[in-house]
Amino acid sequence: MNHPILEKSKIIKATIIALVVGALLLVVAVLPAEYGIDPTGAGKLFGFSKLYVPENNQTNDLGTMVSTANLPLIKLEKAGSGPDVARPVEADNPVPEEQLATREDETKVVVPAGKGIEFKINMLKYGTMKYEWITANNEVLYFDFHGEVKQKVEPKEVYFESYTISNSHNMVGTFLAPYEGKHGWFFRNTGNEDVVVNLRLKGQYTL
Amino acid sequence: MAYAHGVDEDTQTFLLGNSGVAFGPFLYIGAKHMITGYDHLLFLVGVIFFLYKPKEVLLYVSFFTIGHSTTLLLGVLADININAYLIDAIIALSIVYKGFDNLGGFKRFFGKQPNTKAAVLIFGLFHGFGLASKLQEFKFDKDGLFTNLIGFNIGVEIGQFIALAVVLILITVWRRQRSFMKFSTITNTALMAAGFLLLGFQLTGYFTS
Repeated sequence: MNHPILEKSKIIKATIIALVVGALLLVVAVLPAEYGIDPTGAGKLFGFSKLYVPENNQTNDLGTMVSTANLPLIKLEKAGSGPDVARPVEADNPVPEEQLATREDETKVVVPAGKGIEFKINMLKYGTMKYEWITANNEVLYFDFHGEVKQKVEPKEVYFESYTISNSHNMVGTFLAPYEGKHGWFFRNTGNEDVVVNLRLKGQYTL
Repeated sequence: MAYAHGVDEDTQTFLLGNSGVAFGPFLYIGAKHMITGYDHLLFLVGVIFFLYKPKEVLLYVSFFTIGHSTTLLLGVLADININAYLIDAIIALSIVYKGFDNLGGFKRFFGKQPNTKAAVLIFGLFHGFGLASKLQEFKFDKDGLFTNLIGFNIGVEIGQFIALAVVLILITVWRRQRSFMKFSTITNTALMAAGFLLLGFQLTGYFTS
């Protein structure tokens, strides 16, 4: 190791230059692009600010950040039971004269660590329902909100339609059943801890 | 009612969590992280900048490897979570330190250079915590943890070896040129600038998250 030792003034100069260059790049380019912080307006001027993508971050009770940006993308092909399963004729049955009685329920579904689980209710064609589910600690779950057609003869491969597939910690909506059968959620927990989903339902269905 | 159901399990199997042993993937992640990890690379450039003998390079890199392997294994196995921004800020500081040291700053101002081997070892320890937090981002099962961890660590060494080989070749060629001494001041100033930049970047991340 025989490296040169510069004079004091040169070292001070180099250090100050380094600080100024570093700080300048930070304020002009990096902060606007990475954090959307743009105190000088230079980020906007040069277009660096456009690179900033606000992350949809959620903090759960454990204090760990859950970023939906890291989740795998879901493709159209995932929706429904696939092209090999024919849509049963029962899907086109007439609408019943009377719907099921309106009821309200609150329940918990435990999705075990590393497993998938389904929660389903029975509904008649054009029955309506409002739903709400929230994971206990804001854990993000993969889910497929889908429904199977009630068939006279149980088929080998069940036909189902996916109404929504996504990853979330919370979902709310109204639902009009397209056909008689079982409708509900398939939840998948990829984490190492069991996840509790708190569910609320109100509408024309039976459990 | 809630029940585990066969139908959708079959049609909708998808894998996100790395379950069980996955030596190969973790080896790859480790190597990739090192080759694309500019902070580790900048520090290493600083460390080997004035090392002329292959033996010395090997010695210093070994100190770095011992340092970061220790905390990588310890951090993951003991499940130690240190804020990644703070660790990365210290890694950024290590770059500033090395640039300053290469300019002769410590000798000139304090009359004495801190023990360079000890410094590499200590900063290696911090780099290891950074690697550990990187690895902990991947959710994986407890079974196969050790094998995966070893895979990651070996990957880190492979990545470091490849990156170092490239850097060493470039620096060795460059040293033969007259410009090397002339540009060494600029290079180490740039190293410090990059360190300051990363420091600001990480600290901003820490305070805004």
